[in-house]
Amino acid sequence: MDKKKNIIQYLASKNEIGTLLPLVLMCIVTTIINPSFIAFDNVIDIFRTTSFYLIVGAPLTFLLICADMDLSIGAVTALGGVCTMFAMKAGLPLIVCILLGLLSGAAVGVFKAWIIVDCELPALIVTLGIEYVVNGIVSITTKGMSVNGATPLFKSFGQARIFGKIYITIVIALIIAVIFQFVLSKTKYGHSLFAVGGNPETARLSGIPVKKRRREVHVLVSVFAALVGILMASRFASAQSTSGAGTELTVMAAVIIGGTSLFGGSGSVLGSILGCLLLAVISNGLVLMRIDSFWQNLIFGIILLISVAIDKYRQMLFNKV
Amino acid sequence: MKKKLLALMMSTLMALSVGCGATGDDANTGDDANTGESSSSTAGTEASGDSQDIMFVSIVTGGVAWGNAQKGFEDALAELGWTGQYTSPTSANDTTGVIDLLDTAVTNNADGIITVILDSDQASDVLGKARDAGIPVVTCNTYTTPELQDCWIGTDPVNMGKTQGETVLKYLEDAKYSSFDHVTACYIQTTLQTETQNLQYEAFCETIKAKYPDATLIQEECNSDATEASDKLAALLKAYPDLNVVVSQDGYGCPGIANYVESEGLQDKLITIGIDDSEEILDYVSNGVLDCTIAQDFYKMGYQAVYFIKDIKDGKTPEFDNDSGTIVIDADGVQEHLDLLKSRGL
Amino acid sequence: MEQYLLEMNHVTKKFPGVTALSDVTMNLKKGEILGICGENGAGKSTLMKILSGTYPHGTYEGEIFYEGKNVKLTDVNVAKSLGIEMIYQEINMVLGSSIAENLYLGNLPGKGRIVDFKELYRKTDEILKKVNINAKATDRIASLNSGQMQMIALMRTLINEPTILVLDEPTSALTNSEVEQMMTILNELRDKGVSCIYISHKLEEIYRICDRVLVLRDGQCISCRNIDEVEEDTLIEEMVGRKVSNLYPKITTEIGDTVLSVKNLSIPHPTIKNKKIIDNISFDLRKGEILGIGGLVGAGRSEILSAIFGSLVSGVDKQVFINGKETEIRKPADAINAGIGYVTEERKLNGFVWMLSIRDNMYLPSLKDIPMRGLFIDEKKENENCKTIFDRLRIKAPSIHTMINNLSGGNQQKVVLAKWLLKNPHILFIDEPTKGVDVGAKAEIYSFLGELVEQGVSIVMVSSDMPELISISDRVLVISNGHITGEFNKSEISEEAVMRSAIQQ
Repeated sequence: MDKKKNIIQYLASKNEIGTLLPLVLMCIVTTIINPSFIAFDNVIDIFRTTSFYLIVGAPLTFLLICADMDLSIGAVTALGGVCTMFAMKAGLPLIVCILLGLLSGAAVGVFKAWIIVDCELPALIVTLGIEYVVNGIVSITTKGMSVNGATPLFKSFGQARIFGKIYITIVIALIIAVIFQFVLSKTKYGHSLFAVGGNPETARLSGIPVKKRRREVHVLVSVFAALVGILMASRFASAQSTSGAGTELTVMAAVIIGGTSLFGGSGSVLGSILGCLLLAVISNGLVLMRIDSFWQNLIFGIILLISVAIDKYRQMLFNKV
Repeated sequence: MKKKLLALMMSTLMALSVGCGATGDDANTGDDANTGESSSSTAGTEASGDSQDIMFVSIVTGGVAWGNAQKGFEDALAELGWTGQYTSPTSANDTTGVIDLLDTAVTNNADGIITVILDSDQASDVLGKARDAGIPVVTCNTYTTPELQDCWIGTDPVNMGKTQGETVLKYLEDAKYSSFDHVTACYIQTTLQTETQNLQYEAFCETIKAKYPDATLIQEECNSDATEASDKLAALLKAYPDLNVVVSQDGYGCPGIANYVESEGLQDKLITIGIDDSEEILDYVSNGVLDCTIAQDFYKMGYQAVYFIKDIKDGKTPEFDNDSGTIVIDADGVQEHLDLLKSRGL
Repeated sequence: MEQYLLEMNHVTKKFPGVTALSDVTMNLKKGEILGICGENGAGKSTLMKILSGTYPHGTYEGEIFYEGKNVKLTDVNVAKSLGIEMIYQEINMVLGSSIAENLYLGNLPGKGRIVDFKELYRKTDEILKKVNINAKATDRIASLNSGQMQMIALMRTLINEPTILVLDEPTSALTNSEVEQMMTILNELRDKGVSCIYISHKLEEIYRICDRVLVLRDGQCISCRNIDEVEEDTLIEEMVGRKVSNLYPKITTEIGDTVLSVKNLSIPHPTIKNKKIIDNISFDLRKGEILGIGGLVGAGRSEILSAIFGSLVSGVDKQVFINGKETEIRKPADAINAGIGYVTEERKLNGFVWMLSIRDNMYLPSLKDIPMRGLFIDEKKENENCKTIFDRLRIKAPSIHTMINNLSGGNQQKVVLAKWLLKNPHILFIDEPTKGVDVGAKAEIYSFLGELVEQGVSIVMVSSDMPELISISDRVLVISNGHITGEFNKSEISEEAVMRSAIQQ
């Protein structure tokens, strides 16, 4: 009896359980209905979807921990891809193209951070505004058309597979996630973020440069959003003005489902990995289970709600013991 | 603090003025398209035959589809020496936004309205107002009822669906796919809420089922996102291992589908039908990744709509239904189509 | 001349409309504990915020010398680099993090950028053992009680090996045994040569631990003497001793029968588990009476009002009799129906709705009583009603349609009062009626309270403003440690008596 209680206590103390449980359930159910779910190729497909979420999900976890938010991710994704492709069309070397793409993200990030942190305007509305502005810039420059003309090298990069199977995007995402998780849990920098989001006044009084941290993390998110755009452009050999549209909410949902608090002060990249994975598994699994597409949105929403409910229940259990 | 806010406001203003300058230049290339607002009040009172001011209320600005319609619209205006303005809501496919813009057009006494109506119920009120004000209304690629508008031009959804179905059937006869003994087809459209696409899908199904009564047909959406379209196709192939036909009905999703087919080497296992005629999609057709693409003629919609308004002004009554037709482009037809586009200056 | 470790010379700090400190000079020797005492709002915290760099150099007048050198404290980090550390009255913890991380916040051990967790947990466990906290380094800080958190806050500052330690009311959340422990630690620090500034209301603690004591009153330095040269009574007199001016009109009304009777009121402590902030008190309020409730900040005075009014419910035990009849008050609406009005202390927080006009704010609690004509609000009538009270209160604003955030503090307070007057309550609770209100408006509010009691309204008033409390009240209850430690009738009230009861343990 006691031992049983201990296990429950232990599980309840783990933030990630709220995501892991529905994830495992979803995998089991899908596999029973359609065993090809766990086929290697399908798993790789799921991982690829996950990686696009995760590359920006990892820095976004930092941002949410700092009690900030960003609704401009989707637009910056499009911007990063479009900038890189324009540079490529102009015949610049690949590495310069990619750097320009990342730089465009960084520029938006710096501007955004300046408005939010230094001018002290609310992040919600500022990033929404920036989403429109950046979308506008992308539409004006592309006239809504996709920008193509990828060099073969660039194209092969996005479609390259390690061991002939594993997409390079997955590897990049994994490396990024591991680095972010390490920084968050093992370094002084990462720990200062919890204080910034958990109690900014305390952090300030303890000599942590609160504003600097927030600025840095804002820039990080935008740079990685641009990276996603570049990887997408590389994958399709063209940059679309619509790519990344709506990703901000999907990724934000994934991160929050992964146990990161919307109000800052707690969270983990590991949880975000699981959250991104959960979303990818649901959208893949619903098709594999041959669920009528008219029903998919409904079921998708219900699973998300269940996942959040499990997390709330877990917290209650945890706080009781 | 105050200084920073001031700096923020100043920089915004500067960006705006630079931006306006830029769009001003753009508009000039479009034959003074944005002088419409100012001239509309005077033009409205003039007799027909003189310069007219036409408002095109669209659902989206730019892109391979409606960008072409805008070009056609502006070319026709230039030929007639008329003025006009192409507008759309800030967020694409915002039906309420379209209605608001229509209200503006009616209030400002536009001489004619060209528009795209995704939901006829919502639009009936404002179109009634336009009718009472005697403003001719032509719709593109969508339509309501003859009571509310003069005529429409666009891809007839039923015809489009039929063409897609027939194209698939044609490829099933082809030597390349002679081993196919069944049909499992997926139809990947913009969203499941798009009424005309659902009509198209029904017509597509009917055409296929007429010949293959046992065919499995799956309808999916991709929200105009290449990544989502690609991931959907990957999952569909797992769910339906015998999938052998893919029809794309979204210009943004299509490259995602083509990309997946190409990277997985599925050219021989799938009949893949694309949509629209962007440079990228035409490339996929010439490479043999897409068996063909079915282009709607958006240029014609924009162009012809203006001439329908001229007809009405001249006292003629155009037909209510006008199919702008579709063009099936396979690898051999790409060059010919490119020439056509070039001739239109696209 | 004796060498001081720290000197703050002629410091003057002004806030809009208020001079918080005027020409205050303070000095501190190496290895001594200097007590600072004074009433609420005497300027103690402001002085310390200047020392910590929270109010940076340039926002005040005066000079600061550290080890004889003139220093400019432009930032919290500058003060820290000199070895000045602060412990605040409010608990400053990152609640989601572990004890160890809070203890070493901004100061985590490790080589370079990587945290050395083994070292962190080992050191933390040592410290926890030293201060007798039975918890693991990895436990969440939220599992500690507020006294333990205060100890962690103290230990956190000690990790930086400060030369000057400032403690602002450090014992307000501590239990007796924890206070003992803190005293031991402070004595050890003094032996090591660390200087402390100890701010407290509690004279007993000041006498136990301090070498010298500085008294502040109304932003001015009153005296600074060795602790063994000054009697407790003198200290109290110096803290409160100001002449009661004619700011306070004499209100004499006929005191009638008991209108409100509160029995067996108990309220749990908001932060400390299993402790009651108010422990089984009973009192009566009579018709036409102003009953003052005095005590130190944090004694639970506001909680008494909230609990009776029904806005503080969980864990509260009470019996309320209105006009002799037992009345159940579960929510504010019950209290309003029973004829009670409540003017809260935090008027910015819950006093009114910022975006609304004076009129709309006034009608907020009376929405049900808005004059109607058929289905519609009778706006003319509504305006008339508001205008009457607006004029009666002499609210200084262009009209009743002025937005509330354009008003001065005093006029805002009048609007809050007006809100309840529209309801015609027969019992009115007022919490800190003149907090942040200028002198002119103060007098008007007092005379208005006088008018009210003349009309037979009974008032319960919580006030930290000592002269106000003793001049306006017909009777004063003093709360300390959860109990009523003093009850004084008009003839017996004196500042000294109230203060003595307030600091009684």
